[in-house]
Amino acid sequence: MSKKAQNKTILNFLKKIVLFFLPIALLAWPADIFISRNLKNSNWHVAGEYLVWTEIYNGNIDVQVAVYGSSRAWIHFNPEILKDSTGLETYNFGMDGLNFSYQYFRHNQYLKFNKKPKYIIISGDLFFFEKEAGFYNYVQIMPYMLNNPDYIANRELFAFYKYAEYRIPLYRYMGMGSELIRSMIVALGLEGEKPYRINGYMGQELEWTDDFENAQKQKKQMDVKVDPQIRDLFYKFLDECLQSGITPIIVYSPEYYEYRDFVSNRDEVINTFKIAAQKYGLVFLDYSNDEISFNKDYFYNSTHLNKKGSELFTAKFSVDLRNAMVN
Amino acid sequence: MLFNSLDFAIFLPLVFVIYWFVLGKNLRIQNAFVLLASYVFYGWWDWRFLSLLVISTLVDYFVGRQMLIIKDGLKRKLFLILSLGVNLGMLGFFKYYNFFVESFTQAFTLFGQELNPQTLKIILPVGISFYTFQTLSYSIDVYRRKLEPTRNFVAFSAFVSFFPQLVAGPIERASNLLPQFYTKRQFDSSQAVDGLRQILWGLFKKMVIADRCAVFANEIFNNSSDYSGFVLVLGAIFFAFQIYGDFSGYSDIAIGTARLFGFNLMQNFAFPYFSRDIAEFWRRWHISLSTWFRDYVYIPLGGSKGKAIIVLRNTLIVFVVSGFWHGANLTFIFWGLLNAIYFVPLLLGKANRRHLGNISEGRILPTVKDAIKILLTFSLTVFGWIFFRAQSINHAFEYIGSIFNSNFFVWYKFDDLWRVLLTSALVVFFIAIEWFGRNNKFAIEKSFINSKKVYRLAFYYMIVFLIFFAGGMQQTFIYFQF
Repeated sequence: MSKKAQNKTILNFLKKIVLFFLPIALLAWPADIFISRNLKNSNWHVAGEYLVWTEIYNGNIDVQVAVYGSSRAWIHFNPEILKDSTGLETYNFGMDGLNFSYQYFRHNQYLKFNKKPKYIIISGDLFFFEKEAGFYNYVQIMPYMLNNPDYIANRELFAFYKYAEYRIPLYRYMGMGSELIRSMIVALGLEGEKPYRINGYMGQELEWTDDFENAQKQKKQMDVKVDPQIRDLFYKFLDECLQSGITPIIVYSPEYYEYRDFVSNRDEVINTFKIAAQKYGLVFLDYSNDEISFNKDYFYNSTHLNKKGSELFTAKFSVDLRNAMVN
Repeated sequence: MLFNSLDFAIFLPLVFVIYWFVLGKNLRIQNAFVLLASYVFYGWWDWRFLSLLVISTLVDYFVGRQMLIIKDGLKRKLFLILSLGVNLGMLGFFKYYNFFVESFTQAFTLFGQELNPQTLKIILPVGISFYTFQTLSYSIDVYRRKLEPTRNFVAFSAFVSFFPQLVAGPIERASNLLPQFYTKRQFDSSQAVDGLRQILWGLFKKMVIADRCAVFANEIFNNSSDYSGFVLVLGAIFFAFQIYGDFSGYSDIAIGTARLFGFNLMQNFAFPYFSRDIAEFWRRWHISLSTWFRDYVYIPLGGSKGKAIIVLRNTLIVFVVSGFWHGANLTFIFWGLLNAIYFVPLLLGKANRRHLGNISEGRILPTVKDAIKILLTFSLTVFGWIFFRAQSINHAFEYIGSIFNSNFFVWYKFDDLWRVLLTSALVVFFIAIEWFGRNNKFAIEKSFINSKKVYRLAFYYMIVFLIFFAGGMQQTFIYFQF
């Protein structure tokens, strides 16, 4: 075969390949829009995280009190009770299983698209300053990250994703069949209208499980790390809040008292919050010794209150918050 | 560079276009380019280990050249020993050093002697077991005068490092692959399309079957004490499909990729889970390694000639060495030994070559007798995989012990039961496709080939869709660690 004839054969072959992949390439963009749009509207998926992100990006949040933290935030602080008690609109931004670095990213996105609050309640937990082993619930940013400069600039935080996944439509949904199915469920209106979280909060109607006992069986004690970078980021955040007229209030909500001995350096974490509060002249409300912390009926595991517990706690906290606001 | 990565998806078309369009005229430059591409492919993972590849190439090229010049038998043997020493030395150091040091320490401890072992933090270079065996086959064949030593250094280097099969095989013989570097390759469209089809099927096996099964196999093996017997059996079956999908998927992608460049690599898997006895399984599983051991270990030891005790010894040696090749762990040796135990009765009863032909030729479904044999062979294989996958011999025995405890039928409540069911359904689909394509080189070689184009395309798009959305989390190929 002459060189010319061979080149023609190869070109025909390449043409076939291009024609095969062309429909896929053409469909990638609309498919991405379809999946992302429907995930953004999901009320339930990823423990309601999409709901919170979408409200942030829609710019609909106009509140005086914002609650930050991990799952202990969105499970413990009921905005309705806080509103009834303080008269201030409240939204709960708690992020499941993530440390302050992620909360800080969400904080900046919130301020970018919405009116700033007057108060920010920072719900502390023992993993607040610990570097994450991975990005928990990594799917939560998927519908928002494509060609989004804020996400691209914070790529280190979302290390799970490759650069190409921020740029190429549909690529990040590879292997994410459950996201595709969820988007179809939403598109077909099968998800139900009642949102999983209301104003970011969802009380857990659960009774005590044996999670803590199982964890104790596996190891007697554990320790957590206070990462200096995350601690400094926290200081920076407090500083920024004060500069812009927002008052941060640090709260350590109840945890079941037996858990205290389980974490060997618990005092180190609590002291880090105390030092931060002292440094910036802030209120630090610690409910470690509150009577709620000694009653198993209010918890479903060692660090999370159930609905009954969270409502009782929020009611108590709202009184303290009112006093803190007055002072 | 992983085959199932974006890097490779960019690398492959780029190399393809340059290879055929820019350098298509000149064979030597084309070979040099294959060599360069192969080094980039390998160096993408860790460029420092390219030095090992270069050492292996230089030594074996030099040994080959010397064997051509030297007629003296003893000197030729010395050069063969040099090749064996360098290649097996590298392999031994990087793969087995810590294992031997720790084993000696344990042995001395048993006799009351305390030793302070000097183990090293050694990274295992990807593919070292594969390319050392490939290049050794060259030296041995040259020594045996079965192969003319090459004068073409570039062709030889490209043969040793040929990127499609460099890191996980098939372990090619010099007699098959090396001559393909000497002759001008013509682009064959039908061969290239066939290659793409094989790549597609390989990706499906790896990304859908292996990566999905890996999630459950890992979970169940890593927490085996938490599960009932039934779930542990399920875990072993998931691992059986993980390792098959992973390794044969890699081989399919490698063979398909090579075909795009006009090369033909040997078949590495021939539907092993449909085997009717263990002997047939070993003729269908990792064929390039099995035949390597047959030609360079088993036959030189005397093979199946001679007294039964010699045949038995040879078989045991081959299986144990084959197990040890997989890794520096007693679990692999035990796995090899177990397969020898399966194999020996067939060998002694001269029944090891009973099933040489196609499986259930001309039938849609197997006969009841064949079905029972297939199931039995599969069960034995799955049992063997428990040793292969377990972290230690103790873990393997604990795993097996837990299968046979009293709560066999207690169902474990999986958090995501639908994922287990979906994965199981995909495995069933996979088995069906493999069954209907079992007489081909790979399962979808002729699927819908005689149907209307629209059906054929629909089938391919369905596979692409499954790879895209039903694939599991990306995992490294299992055999990279070997």
